[in-house]
Amino acid sequence: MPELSAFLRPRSLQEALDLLAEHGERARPLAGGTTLVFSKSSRVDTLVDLRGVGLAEVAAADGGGVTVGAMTSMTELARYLRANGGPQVLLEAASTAGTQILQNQITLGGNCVQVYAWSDLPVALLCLGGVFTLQGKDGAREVAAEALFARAPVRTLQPGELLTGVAVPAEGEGAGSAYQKFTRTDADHSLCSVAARVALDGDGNIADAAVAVGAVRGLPQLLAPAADAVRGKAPGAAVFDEAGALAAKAAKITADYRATAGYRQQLVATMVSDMLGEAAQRAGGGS
Amino acid sequence: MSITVKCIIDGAPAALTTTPGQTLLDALRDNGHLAVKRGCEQGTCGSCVVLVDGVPLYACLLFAAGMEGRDVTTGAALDRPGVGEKPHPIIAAFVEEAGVQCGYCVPGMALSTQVLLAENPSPTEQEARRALDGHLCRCTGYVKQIKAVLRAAELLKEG
Repeated sequence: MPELSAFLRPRSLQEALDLLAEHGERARPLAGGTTLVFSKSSRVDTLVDLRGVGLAEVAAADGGGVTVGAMTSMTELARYLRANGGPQVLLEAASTAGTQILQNQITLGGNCVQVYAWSDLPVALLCLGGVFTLQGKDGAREVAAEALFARAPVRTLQPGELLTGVAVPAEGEGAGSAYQKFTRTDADHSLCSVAARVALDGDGNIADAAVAVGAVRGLPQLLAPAADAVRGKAPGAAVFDEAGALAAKAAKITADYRATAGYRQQLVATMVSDMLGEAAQRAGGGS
Repeated sequence: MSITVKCIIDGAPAALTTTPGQTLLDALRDNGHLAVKRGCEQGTCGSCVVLVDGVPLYACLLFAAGMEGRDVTTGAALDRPGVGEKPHPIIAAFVEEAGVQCGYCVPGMALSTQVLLAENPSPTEQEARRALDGHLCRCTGYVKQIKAVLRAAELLKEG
């Protein structure tokens, strides 16, 4: 960033919020920085480096959920989930978000605020019903993943406000989840990504489900019709295929040089069916 | 606007002369640390990989100004330039297995190898492959470098 005139390193969240307020529109917060480093913006002359402010904790929350600080790297998140358990869909998203080296640098906050079509964490957090904390100088507020990703997250954040973390609810008893992305090579951007969660009742029927897709347009999206289609039913290939077809119909899909809309539609149908099946299997109900 | 960033580079206290917006890759090279190679400059090729506090990162995606007080290791840390001196076991393994052709990717790959072997002295081939994820080599086709990682594990154990 050639136009930069100040690189500030606050030692606390409060100090970071004060600096962002003081410098206003000309300042940007810096997390992992994997994309901000390319900015050629001449409107920004100050970076506020968040590395020294903490926010890098992953911790168990009441009720079996997990809270993840915004500065947690994908590597650290995956390490925590492997050691302590937690939603499989979150582990699979974190451990496939770019190369191993990028995973050391990409943060949860950066991946969610600076969301790209191919970003992985937002898809998993949509599916799991994550709730983000946005902290401003005058207090904090909570925003559900569905609301945050309904438009570019920077439009929800007030000037000077920081995303400080996310609370991820427990999957619960008899629940399972799965994430898959389709790329031409391991390190390429996704053409389609799907996160699914399935909870089974005592009889082995589907009590609850959620399906999210990413990489088929600019922002990830929850696909309620696919989840509604499996609720109350016994897990099975026909049920999941039907949900996949409904997902492909419901998803807003755009074409780009990587893939046509029709191709992506087929990916959504196939992958939603596959991931619902995988999630159901992990929940304890074969398919 | 010139600033000075105090940090540790390859084990020695250093003062990097840089600007607030300069990348760590540019700052290291401008300050004479030429083991850090400039490749894609977009966090893909891995030729600029350095360890920051022991973690492999792309220097082209970092701001030098963020390195204040931190420990930066470049590929030069594995260099043993003395005449008649035995090369570092990781470098020896890359040479033995012909994992070096043009050599441009080796400083980065050697550092990722070092991190892997510190955590896991006896990696499987799959783990060796994973450790080189994020490093591109346009010469060798990777097979020889994966062998080199496994050979480095042996050499390090032999001491």
